[in-house]
Amino acid sequence: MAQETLLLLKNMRTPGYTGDLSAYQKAGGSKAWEKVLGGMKPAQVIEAVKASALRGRGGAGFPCGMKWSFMPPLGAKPHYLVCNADESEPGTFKDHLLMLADPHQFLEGMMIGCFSMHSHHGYIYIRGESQHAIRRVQGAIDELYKAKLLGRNIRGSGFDLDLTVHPGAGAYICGEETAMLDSLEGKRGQPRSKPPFPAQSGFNACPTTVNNVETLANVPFILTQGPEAFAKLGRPNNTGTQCISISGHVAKPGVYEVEMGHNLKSLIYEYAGGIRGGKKLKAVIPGGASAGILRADEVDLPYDFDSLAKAGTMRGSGAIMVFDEDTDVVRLAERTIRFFNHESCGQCTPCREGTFWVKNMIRQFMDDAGDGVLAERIHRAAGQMIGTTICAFGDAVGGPMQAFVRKFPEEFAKHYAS
Amino acid sequence: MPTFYLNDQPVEFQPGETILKAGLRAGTEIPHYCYHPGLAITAQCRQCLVEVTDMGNGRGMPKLQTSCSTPAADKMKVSSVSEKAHWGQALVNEFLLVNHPLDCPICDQAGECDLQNYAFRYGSGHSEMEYEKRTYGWRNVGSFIMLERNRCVQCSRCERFSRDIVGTHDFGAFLRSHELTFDTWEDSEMTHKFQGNLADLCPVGAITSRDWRFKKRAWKLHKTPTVCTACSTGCNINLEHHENRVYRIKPRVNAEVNRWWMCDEGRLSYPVLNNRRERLLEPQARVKGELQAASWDAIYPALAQRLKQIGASGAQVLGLVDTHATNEELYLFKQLLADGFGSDPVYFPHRPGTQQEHPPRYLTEPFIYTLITTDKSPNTAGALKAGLAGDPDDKRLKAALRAGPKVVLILGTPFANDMAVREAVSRADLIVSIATHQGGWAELADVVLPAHTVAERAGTVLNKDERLQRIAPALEAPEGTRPQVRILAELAQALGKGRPYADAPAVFDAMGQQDGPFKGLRWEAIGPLGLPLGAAKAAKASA
Amino acid sequence: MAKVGFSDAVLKEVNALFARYPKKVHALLPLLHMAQRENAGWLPRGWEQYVADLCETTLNHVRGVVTFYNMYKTEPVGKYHILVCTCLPCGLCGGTEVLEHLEHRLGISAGKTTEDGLFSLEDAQCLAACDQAPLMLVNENLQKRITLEQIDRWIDEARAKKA
Repeated sequence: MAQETLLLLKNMRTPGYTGDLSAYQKAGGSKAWEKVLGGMKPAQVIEAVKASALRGRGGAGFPCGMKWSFMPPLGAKPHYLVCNADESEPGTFKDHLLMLADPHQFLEGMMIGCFSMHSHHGYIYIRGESQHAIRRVQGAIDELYKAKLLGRNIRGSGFDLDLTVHPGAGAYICGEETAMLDSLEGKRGQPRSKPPFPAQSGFNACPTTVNNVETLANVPFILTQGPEAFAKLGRPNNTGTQCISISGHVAKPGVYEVEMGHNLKSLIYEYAGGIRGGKKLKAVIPGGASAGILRADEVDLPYDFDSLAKAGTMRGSGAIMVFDEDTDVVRLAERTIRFFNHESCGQCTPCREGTFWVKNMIRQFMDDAGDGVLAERIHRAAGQMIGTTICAFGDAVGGPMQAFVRKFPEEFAKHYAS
Repeated sequence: MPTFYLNDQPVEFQPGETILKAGLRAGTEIPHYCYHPGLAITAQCRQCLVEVTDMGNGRGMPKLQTSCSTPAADKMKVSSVSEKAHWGQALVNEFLLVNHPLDCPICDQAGECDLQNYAFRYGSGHSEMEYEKRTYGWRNVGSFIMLERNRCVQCSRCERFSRDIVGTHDFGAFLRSHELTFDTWEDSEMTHKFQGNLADLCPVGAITSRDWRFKKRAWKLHKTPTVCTACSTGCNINLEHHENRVYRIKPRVNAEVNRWWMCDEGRLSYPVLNNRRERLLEPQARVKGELQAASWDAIYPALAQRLKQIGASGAQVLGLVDTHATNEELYLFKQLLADGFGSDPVYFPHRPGTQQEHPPRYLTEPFIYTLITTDKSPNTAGALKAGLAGDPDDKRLKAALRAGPKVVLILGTPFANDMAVREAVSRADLIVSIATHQGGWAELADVVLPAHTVAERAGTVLNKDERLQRIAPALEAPEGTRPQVRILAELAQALGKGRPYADAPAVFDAMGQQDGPFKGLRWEAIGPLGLPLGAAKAAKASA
Repeated sequence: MAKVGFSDAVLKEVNALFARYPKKVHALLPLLHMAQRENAGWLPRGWEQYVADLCETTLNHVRGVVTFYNMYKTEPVGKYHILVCTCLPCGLCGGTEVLEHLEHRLGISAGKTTEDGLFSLEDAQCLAACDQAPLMLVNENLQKRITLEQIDRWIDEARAKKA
């Protein structure tokens, strides 16, 4: 197998590693947190993260250090850091691996994030279906309290910090940061209209930052090894490593850690073992269900934020779904729109009505009753969801649906009415 | 003031104001459903999409923006009519019609429906949606309103109103995606008294008034701006009528009184205005125990002669009035008693109002609950200002009645249901009733003078906060009836006192020239939104 | 009707939970999970109002939340509550076949509960373990790379245990 570049998965790839606090510390963990508590200024931490050029691994790829610097100076209202561990983008499972196999790594990053943003309470939002992840992370937090790495006046630094695991209850949209905040406030998870942005008014109308698990997991490395060591990995503006979830018709599905900008084709063939059963590749969805599909002849490109954007799709949450030659792309489109129709929160008209209508149109193809006019209508209706809704969900449905129609017209033609 | 450009026209705005709010104020129509000035902004219907071609810094915004949630900025350039903006508005309209039943012919909202209006503007005339629509049944969800969910556009105004304004949270948001539904729960029919506002707020025909159902097409109605007289709050309203019948009452926005709202008691106060069957339609005089019709020309001299015969004066003449009378009527009535008979004071039932409804838990801003008072008349404050005599236990009136008045003049129906008062009054030699409908004092009176209802006459009333407001005639009064101010002026003249007045505004202007609560004020100065009496005085003092 | 309300021991946990949020209502989601755990996985009549009162909010706020999220149930669920992912990778790697097989074997369609109250079956969206497709979540236990034979065996065992 091709060599991974291990940064986040390093500990867990070591045989016998348990992920307990003692194991984590034996592997060099907690050093960054102690270094920060030992006299770093919050601004210095943010500078280091900025210098690393770390970009958010949740989907949008927003520069993490810049996000942290958007938090206002501490005023009357408390600040919050919320860790987005909802991970419900179809095809994505790397955050679960990070939480289950090495929970202290991202928790350390989160604690450092809290410190740098003057936050004394952090919430980890984990989807409710993942009881195993909730238990694992809660267990790790309990260990931290016991080791006095959390709580009041941590290690005599004068800094207080609490972490709380908040369970979701089954709603994809709660992975959207403002929907997550509403959900954290005990409401229906409906994205909020911005402005105000969470850094101005987030959880409980207080300044709040939301970061993905993998993003935070990178922070300890940046603090101990230095931002330069991090920025050396990957490509300019696409630094560090990335944990890629590969699923679908590959021989060895799983999570692989490679540098940013690693070739997509190589990931599929050299890491995930190629197409299972020796079949040919038909299509790849390169960044979770919200990313536009690529044809087999389009996958020879660097896998990072900018390269995939240039190819008209996106890196998203780093979830590569691979489909072999036997795959019916219309069925794939049907699974996709069914998912989005089921998971739309329903508040914005284009998304609520558009996902319903497009689902009906795709189903007409599934019944072998489609035609060219209908395919164009899908393309038009999908386009009407792009850029017209409160959150990015509309884009996340519209883009992929348009891509299915445009990239695989011959697959749709197979379902025309005879 | 900072200025932005909407469709190339300069629009001034307050810092923080949104494009939509400033644009609407400037008279530019931008289509919208979920935005309402009285409710929290959610930007969810997406109908108000506009194109921001310049944020004020030379750069445009790549995506269309919802004008309801985007703050205006100095030198910003916005278009609500560009090709791109039109695309955005039209697509929202198309999506909303995906599941709409298109039942305008039987929908009460037709003619005042935003969806219908926008469909005319953006619609293509045929639907490309060829699948089964989601459908629900309709049902009554409260004592005042019904819900037809097929027509709903999911704007969430109903939920925000019932959660944030009334606090009962009867309307909730349930389920999600295309199943998202705004509804009450089946086991709870609404009973609070602010349900009508939900029908007003609903931009389509999903929530409609049960009372109004199938009665009249909205476009037939004429609207007369006036004031609700069902309690002492004086909510500003439009009386909506056609062919001389009132069909409904809707609130008229007044930030100082009722904001956008009113109560259902007020909305349902109109049937009496349409009651012609029991109307008093001509003057009557009692002859040999029976009331008989008389002409206006004959009744005044006859009445004057009878009064002269009795020759009562001072405390022997008793004036009773209720607080449905306008300030002008109270003024003339008081003068009639004083100038004609040297009788003072005039008595009225003083029923101080208190807040009638009480907010539920968890409601932070209970403003709407201040709208209904227990004083079911519009002008108690006016009667007090006019110096009339009244107390909650009617002690002063009872004392006056013990003296055995010979003549009783009654305007309206004060104390009409109080048997003790009725009994004492009935012993008088002469009872004169000025009233609109049979019953009340008219059946006991010796002389009945038919007058106008509140929908037929003009005047001013003073609400519980001493805000001076105008009521306006909406309907034509039946032939044979006369406005109260005219009757009172004519009565005084029949007694050789007073002077003629053209109408209520003339009476008010005369009051404004004398010492008293309205000194220095003129009818025209009151305006459609009224004036607080204190503020009017203060303004005068500083001038 | 069974008693509505937490025991004193659970109420202690509830208060500890409230202490971790600025407002009580913020804890609504975990509170509803606790209520479901008390009631074999669903919210019997009366519990929504009880939870609303506990966290100082309106009944329709709670109902809005309950109907928004997939995991809250207002009907009884089976002893084994089965979720099968039929989303993109799972759906195309055997997930739909697993669901169809379960429907056939249990004699119910997705979204229903068997008459003996033993099984509830649900067609689920992504369960975040796509590399192990097909997936089946039974109560809190994620079963990976499940085969139709394993399912048959498991159903037989569960039924035998009951009998």
